[in-house]
Amino acid sequence: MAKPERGLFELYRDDPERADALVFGRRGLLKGASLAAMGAALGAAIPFAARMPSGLVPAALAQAPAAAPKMLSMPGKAGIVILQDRPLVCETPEHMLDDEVTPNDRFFIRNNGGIPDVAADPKAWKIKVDGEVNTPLELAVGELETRFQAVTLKLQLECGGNGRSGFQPEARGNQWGNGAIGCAEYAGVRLKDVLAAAGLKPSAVYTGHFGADPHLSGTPGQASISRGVRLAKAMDEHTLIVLRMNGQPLPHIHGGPARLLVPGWPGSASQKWLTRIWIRDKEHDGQGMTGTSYRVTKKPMIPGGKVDDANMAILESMPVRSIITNVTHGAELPSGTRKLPVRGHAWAGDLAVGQVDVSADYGATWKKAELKAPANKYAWQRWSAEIEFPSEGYYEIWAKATDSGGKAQPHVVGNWNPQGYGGNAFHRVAVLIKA
Amino acid sequence: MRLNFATLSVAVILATIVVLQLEKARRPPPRVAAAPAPAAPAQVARATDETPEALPAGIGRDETFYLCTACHGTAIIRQQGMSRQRWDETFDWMMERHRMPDPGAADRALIVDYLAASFPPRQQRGRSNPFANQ
Repeated sequence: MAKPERGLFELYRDDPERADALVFGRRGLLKGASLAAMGAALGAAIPFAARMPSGLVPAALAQAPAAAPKMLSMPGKAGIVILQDRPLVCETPEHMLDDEVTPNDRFFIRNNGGIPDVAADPKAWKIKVDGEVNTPLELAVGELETRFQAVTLKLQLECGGNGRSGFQPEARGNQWGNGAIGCAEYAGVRLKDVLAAAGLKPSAVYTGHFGADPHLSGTPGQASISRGVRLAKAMDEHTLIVLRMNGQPLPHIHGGPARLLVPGWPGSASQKWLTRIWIRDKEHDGQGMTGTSYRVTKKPMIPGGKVDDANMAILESMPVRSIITNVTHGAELPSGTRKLPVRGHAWAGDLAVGQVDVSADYGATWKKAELKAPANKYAWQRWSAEIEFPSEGYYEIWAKATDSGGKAQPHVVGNWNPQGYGGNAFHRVAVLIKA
Repeated sequence: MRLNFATLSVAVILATIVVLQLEKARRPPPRVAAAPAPAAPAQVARATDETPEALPAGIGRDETFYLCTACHGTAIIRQQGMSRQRWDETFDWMMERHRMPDPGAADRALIVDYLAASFPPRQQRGRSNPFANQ
């Protein structure tokens, strides 16, 4: 364990009264419960607690919290990495994303609020459509299934903050690697069909989405997140109200019985536990639409500098990104390895991926990968290549995707913004070829 | 009460040994706090078994813990590394984005000072070296 610069032990040695006040609560919050609290923090009872001198703090508590990641343990979910547990946010490491279609158990989890109760009768789950429409609707899930054409598509869904950990200085929020992405097979109905049934007024320009997840503070009636999209995106034939995921009823943790799926745009637009679509006559101003949330800069700003709200614009299409999925970061390869097949996925928001290149020499030379067409628009694309190593030693495999408009992933994350959106630097995987 | 230094030193060593063993022993079973039982997931989402010791010691630690965990766990705090100015801006952002009640200037200053001192910008960024110990 690393030694902190000035641990509690030093503090106790130098000034026990002040240390006691510090550790046991300036407001006496922990008085009487201090040992139990320490035990709880350690995850175990403290033997010989009765013999501990007053105010003694176990060493583990004087250290910075351990950096080892916590893995999720939940029925129906694989051991993906917990970034935080309240709200529950979990990342799928890139090497667990090798499947052509991401299985439900490996799909990343992003919540902005609490997790609502499981619907007793999923078919009776209701979704309201109101606002700038001729006929406000209230549709049960069972009704959606019978009244509208069924659609099944493979769609990529990516958190707006994917890649945030690459920002320098650090951007605020969950420090995602590249694993806030999945591409599952979704079944449901087109949002445009539902909006057509409600009849859009000429004044309709934007959507506002609402879900059943409670605000973390427990404040009743307070939305935890409520984002929306321009009407053109809502009317895209790939924008769905989703009821099934990979042939199963949409899992509760992924927003079941019903969620929106707005592919290629920040995942926050794909409202989970969908209860209402409010058609607006102006840009939606719900939770997460304003300020610096889900916004990037119009003109580049000084990294870490003072934010000018007027310089921020809503992030719509996600930028191009590729991941290496068949080689784990930190893999040791057998002695004599000189060739390695590598593969992964690439995607580019509203665009397609035009090219993927790989390098094992820090970008000095690149090799063009074989790239497959997407299963349908907004599905990620499989790429594969063979890497050659001239010798034993330490290598980094880099993957770089270029979108159909000619924009490539950069070497380092640029376009700094306070919440860290659009961080799409190359995926880098370190390997060691044994001597 | 002022402790005898020799007694304290012995106790510290004993406690350290005990704690290191406890640390080792508790590593295998993953924490299941994040796993909502199908019966009552909403409760699990709100419940927490965290205590102020989840955050590093320092002036303002308890105030920080109780204010922040009224809404979220400490993991999101511990992921960050920001300057004092950016921690201060984070209060504006939480009040705007998450409708957090204004904690008042005095508590805000105390907590921002604690966060800036405990979670400053990290020097080293980017990919980890998985072979660092070889």
